[in-house]
Amino acid sequence: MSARLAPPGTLATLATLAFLLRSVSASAQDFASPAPPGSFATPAIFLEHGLPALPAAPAVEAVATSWYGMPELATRAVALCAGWRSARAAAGISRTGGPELGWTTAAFALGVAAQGGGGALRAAARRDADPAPIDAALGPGAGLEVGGGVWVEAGAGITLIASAPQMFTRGGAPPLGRGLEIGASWAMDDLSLRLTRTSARGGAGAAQHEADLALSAGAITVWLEARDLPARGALGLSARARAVTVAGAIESHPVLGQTVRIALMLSRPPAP
Amino acid sequence: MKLWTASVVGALLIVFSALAHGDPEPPKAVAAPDSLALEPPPEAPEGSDFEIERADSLADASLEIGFGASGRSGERPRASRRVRFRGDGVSAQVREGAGDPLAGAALDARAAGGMWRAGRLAPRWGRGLVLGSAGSPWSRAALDRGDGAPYRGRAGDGLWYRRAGPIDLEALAGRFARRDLACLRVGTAGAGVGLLGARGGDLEWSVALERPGGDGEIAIERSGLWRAEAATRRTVGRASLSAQARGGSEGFRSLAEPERSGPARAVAVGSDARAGIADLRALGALWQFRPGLAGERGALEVSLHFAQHDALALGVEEQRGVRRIPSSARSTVASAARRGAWAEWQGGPPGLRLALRHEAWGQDRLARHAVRVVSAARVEAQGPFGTALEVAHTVFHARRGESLYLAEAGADRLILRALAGSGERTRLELKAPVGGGRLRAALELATAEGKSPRPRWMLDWSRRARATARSP
Repeated sequence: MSARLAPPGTLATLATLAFLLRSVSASAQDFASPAPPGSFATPAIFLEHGLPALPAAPAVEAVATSWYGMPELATRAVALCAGWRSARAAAGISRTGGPELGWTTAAFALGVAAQGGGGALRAAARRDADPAPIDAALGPGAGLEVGGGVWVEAGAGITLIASAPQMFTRGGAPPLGRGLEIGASWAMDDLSLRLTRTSARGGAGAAQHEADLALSAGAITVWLEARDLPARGALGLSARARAVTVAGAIESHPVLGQTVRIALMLSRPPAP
Repeated sequence: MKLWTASVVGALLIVFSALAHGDPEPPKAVAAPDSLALEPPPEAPEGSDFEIERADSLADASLEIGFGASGRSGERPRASRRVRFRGDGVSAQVREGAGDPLAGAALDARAAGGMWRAGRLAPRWGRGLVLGSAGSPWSRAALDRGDGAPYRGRAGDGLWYRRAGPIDLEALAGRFARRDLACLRVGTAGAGVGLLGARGGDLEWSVALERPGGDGEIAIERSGLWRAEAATRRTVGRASLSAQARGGSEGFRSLAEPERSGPARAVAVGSDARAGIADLRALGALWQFRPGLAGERGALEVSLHFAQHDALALGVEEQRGVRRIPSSARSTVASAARRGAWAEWQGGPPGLRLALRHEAWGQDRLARHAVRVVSAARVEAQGPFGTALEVAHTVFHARRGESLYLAEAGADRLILRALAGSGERTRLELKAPVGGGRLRAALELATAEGKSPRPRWMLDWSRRARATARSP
């Protein structure tokens, strides 16, 4: 059985987009969950940033991302997490792109979380979908990244975070270079604000800054994200009904187009 | 004429310091791991790692032994051993290890009415013009010279005798800066006169006066070259104000530590004040090695202290000119103006500490046209059974010709790791009680300029034991 080849024009477009993506510093890639600022209680964020949620209740999340209006480069992921006492664990699998230019990622995270702070180590193993992948140290088309994150409550509604998801990489290079992310979020009743700075991977290049503002009304939260390099923004919305949470965000990039992220999460409802 | 000028200026400085009534000097801060607050002393080659011993003292009747090994991918492992003990009037330490910059021995013993020290010496007289200078014009005192310094440096090796009493006496013979030296100092009531002579006939005199509010020193070479310095600290309301001034001949060099002679002329002022939860620190310094070779530095830092030892510090600084006499064209690159800003937060719940720091230096205002940028996160988590895990991740960028040092806390030393170019560094350290002692294992991965990381590892085990008196 032979694989159906895509037209050369599509391949060229995908290759160009992949090159552009490599030059863009991003805060997330395989498990890019749309979540309002100040909230990282989702399994995908646990896997993506190494930031474990405080609740120990099990949760499962499905995420879909359409990158820059390119359906050929969409990401679909499923992640689940659970905890026992202060220990937290998460696992997930993600698929991006198609058979010509795509990859599959399996991720695992293990950490602790308690009142006042938490932290975790995360690892992601990636394999190119290309039937003739490039040779790498861990095998053809295979790559590994290991990193972690930590959050602490600093009082007065302020939470500080640090996440370095790619402290160690081996094998094939990850599709997006992700440097050290440090940030703070401030929750004031129904309003929350988050400021983050993400260093360029390897220290070379400009850092990216992000400011997010969220407003909650009952089970519904609306938020705005603003990023630089280049200046762009996103609008997000999440809603919760009992054990189900639905969230979505649309980001507009002035060059690459629109990115849409949606997520569906099942988790134990919060105590009234 | 030079001698007359020196005498007048020196006398004025000493009288000024003697008249000042202020607070004694506050304890010196010790830099936290992964901090950029420390710089290597002027004699350390630029761009090289620098290691210095921490001055933690043993309790009476105690013994400490330690074994360490460290290595780096592609290099031979380096083993080290150390023994320290402190008994009744006697203390000693021996460090051994190939390639260990701290290898050597020191023995302290009480005899003949005074204290004897043999081995590694780091003495300080007065303001340090002859022995024990900080070298940096904005530093009030060296961090690694003299009694009470947070680090034990090595100015030379030899034999040192000190006797305190109505008449203080100090005698020293040793090898400093590849010179054989002998020194004698006599003092009373805070005033002292010292003479330092080198084989070959070089001589330096030191006259110093120390009072609670300040101190001063004048040093004169046999050739007539001289240097004088005075420092004072006073409390005004909630603020503690300090000032120091230095003057003298451009060609004056300390015989014992010529690399730390510093600039010929310098003025520095500083202020520390507390207002509620805020600590305010300000620093300003001007210096000149010789006409056309000068520098200046101004800094302002605000630290806010919250509950549970959480703290936020914000600072801005501007530097201009040279910090040491340039040894190459590379040093001249760093002489242009530098404007920096930093923010640091540290805190967390019990058992988990997080420290975040971002520092940026640029040629223009607001640190634009960056020459040095460092972002760092450090987490320390306490585990069960006395274990602790520390993870530090740093992303750095230093333009060619710029020096960047990150402080690392070793088992018995502070290491200032020199970094260059752009890159990332991750350091993991595990501490655990093992075999009645303390085991530290560290792994460091650093990548620069996109090159593959060369892992660096360190293992250290140490144990302290204290003798207990046996009942009859």
